[in-house]
Amino acid sequence: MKAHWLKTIVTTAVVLLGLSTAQKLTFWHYWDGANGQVLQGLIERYQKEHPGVTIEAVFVPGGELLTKLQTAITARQTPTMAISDLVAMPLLTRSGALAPLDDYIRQSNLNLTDYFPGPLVYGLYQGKRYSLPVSASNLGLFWNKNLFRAAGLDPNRPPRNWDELLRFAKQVKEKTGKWGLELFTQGGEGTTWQTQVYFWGAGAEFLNANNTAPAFNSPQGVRALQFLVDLVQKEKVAPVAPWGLFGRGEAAMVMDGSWMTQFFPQQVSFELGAAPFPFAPGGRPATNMGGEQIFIFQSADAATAKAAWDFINWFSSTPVQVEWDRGTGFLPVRRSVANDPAYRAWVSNARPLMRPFVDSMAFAKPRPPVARYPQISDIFAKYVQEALLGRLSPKEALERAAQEVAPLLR
Amino acid sequence: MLKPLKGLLTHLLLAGGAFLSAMPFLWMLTTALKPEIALYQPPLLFPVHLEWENFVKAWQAAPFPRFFLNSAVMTVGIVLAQTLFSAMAGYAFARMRFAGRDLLFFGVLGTMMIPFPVTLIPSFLVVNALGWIDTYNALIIPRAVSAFAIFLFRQFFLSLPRELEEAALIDGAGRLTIFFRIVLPLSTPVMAASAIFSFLFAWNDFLWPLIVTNSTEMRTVQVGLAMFQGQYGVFWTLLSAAATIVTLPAVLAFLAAQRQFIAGITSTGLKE
Repeated sequence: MKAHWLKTIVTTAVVLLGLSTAQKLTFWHYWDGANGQVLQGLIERYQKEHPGVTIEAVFVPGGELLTKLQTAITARQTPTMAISDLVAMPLLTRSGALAPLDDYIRQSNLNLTDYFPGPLVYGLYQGKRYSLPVSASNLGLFWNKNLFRAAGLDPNRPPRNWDELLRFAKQVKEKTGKWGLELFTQGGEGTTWQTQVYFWGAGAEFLNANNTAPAFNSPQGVRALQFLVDLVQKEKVAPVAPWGLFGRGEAAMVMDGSWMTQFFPQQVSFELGAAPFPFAPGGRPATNMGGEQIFIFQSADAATAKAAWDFINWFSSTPVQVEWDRGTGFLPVRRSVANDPAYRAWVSNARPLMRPFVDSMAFAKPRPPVARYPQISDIFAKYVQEALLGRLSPKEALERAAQEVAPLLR
Repeated sequence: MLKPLKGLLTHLLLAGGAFLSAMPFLWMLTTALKPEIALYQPPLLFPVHLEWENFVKAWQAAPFPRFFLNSAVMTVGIVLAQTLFSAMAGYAFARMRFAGRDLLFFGVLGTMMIPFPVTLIPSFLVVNALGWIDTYNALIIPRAVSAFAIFLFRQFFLSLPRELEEAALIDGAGRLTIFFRIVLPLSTPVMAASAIFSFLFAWNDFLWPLIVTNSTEMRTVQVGLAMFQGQYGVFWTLLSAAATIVTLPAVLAFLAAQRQFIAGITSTGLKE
């Protein structure tokens, strides 16, 4: 009899305790399709391993997530946590709505030196860290092996520097009549982020070290833009044309994203190669980088915020990130993931085209984390177009762009 | 001899125009029926592939039945409310005399010049304060009246012969009776035009439904379509398949109301 009572009391106590620690977390994200399903699978497992924690993942289409976050911040109706495209992080950190993560990172002994330096640049604001990278993508070279073969080039030998890039492109043009290289010439961020790869590869910087003035109008910058203009105007191996030539087999080489290692093989009818993007002789290997960052909102009470951090900490751990990157095809944000034997084996067997992109993470550079980056990017792209069309000399185009960009950084 | 030639030319011209209007739909349909490998092939106007699988995949990629229900409830609600309230407001502006009437009317017209993003956050704050987030209220009530429809109705009512209403007035009818028994039955062309405009607006609306809903159960078809435009490239074949399904109600609605629609736009019918 007594034991029975005791059992009831203990059970009730356990249930009550469970209720008092029950945490409901809302999580806004834009991971669609298969990526969303991988996330849902991970969340379900986390919930099973952590009874009392429920995570409600809310999908918001990518283009509108920032609008929805900004509306929620203004109305003080924020979720517990969310992700964002890293480009939007400067706007979000400045909103004052995010919770600093430094104390959590210290308490959990999360080793930030294991992260690639590029993605970590985002989320830092006035000496505090507000977000952590959870996925990455970057740019590299794809080439059409069939066209290389037709041009008499070794189909398994990609260009390693700009001299080879130009030489191969010319040979393709001469022997096959197809374009050597496709550039993204339609303006906007698409043009800017591809052009930045050439600039960095020539040793130029986009903005100065503390992001207070443009730096792309340096001699190295002029040299990089001159190279692009020559490809179009002088050598005529790359056209100013709508995007998509490479996919149709009309151009032999293209700079495109790591995500295309997943899509190209289903979309094109030729043999593909992928390599880190060539850089200028005497320059340095460089590429551009995208990805997502995760963060907690300040509106969460201490216990909820802690529960959200526990999930982020688990999600960021090497084994979970290995699983996440394998499921989604995102690039690793941590070296321990990139070097993980199971991950490396998966890349070699399932996604061999992705290998150069994984290797490029070590030198992937962040776009400057400034709030007005979108406007700056538009101005820069506009003048790159002017130069490519031969309306302005590279030097003049970059000087004018710098004049327009400077006031936006003050 | 000359007449048949002229007729032939007219019809050729019309056929060209019809072809231009139909082309985007044909393009959508042929893309929807392409296998993904053929994506980079030049666009064709008639389907050579018949990848019906795309429709199945697209339909299963998101809870579309629920999205259709939500879009239908929202659209019917908005169309009914906009037609009724805008007709009433348009009637007041056309027929009733009160202080500041024209100023108020220009104020209503002026709201059409305020871009939606400007009012987005204030509107959201109001809806949030009312506790309507994730409800049909939030989807319908803030859009229950339309400045454009008010304008449309007012212009139409101005062209109605006043004598009809005066006769009814002499027979002892009140304002509401006149409005519902005399004016509205004479206004089917403009009601159809206004309804089709609000139908297209509501059915195609994307940003507002997305901002005021959080759960999948409250999302609309346009939000479903956005799922195929991923952060890393667009699934064109699936997007086109889903877009074909989603566009179908709008096309059917237009075809059904076509005659009234054109009559309403040109506002022929009844003139003083």
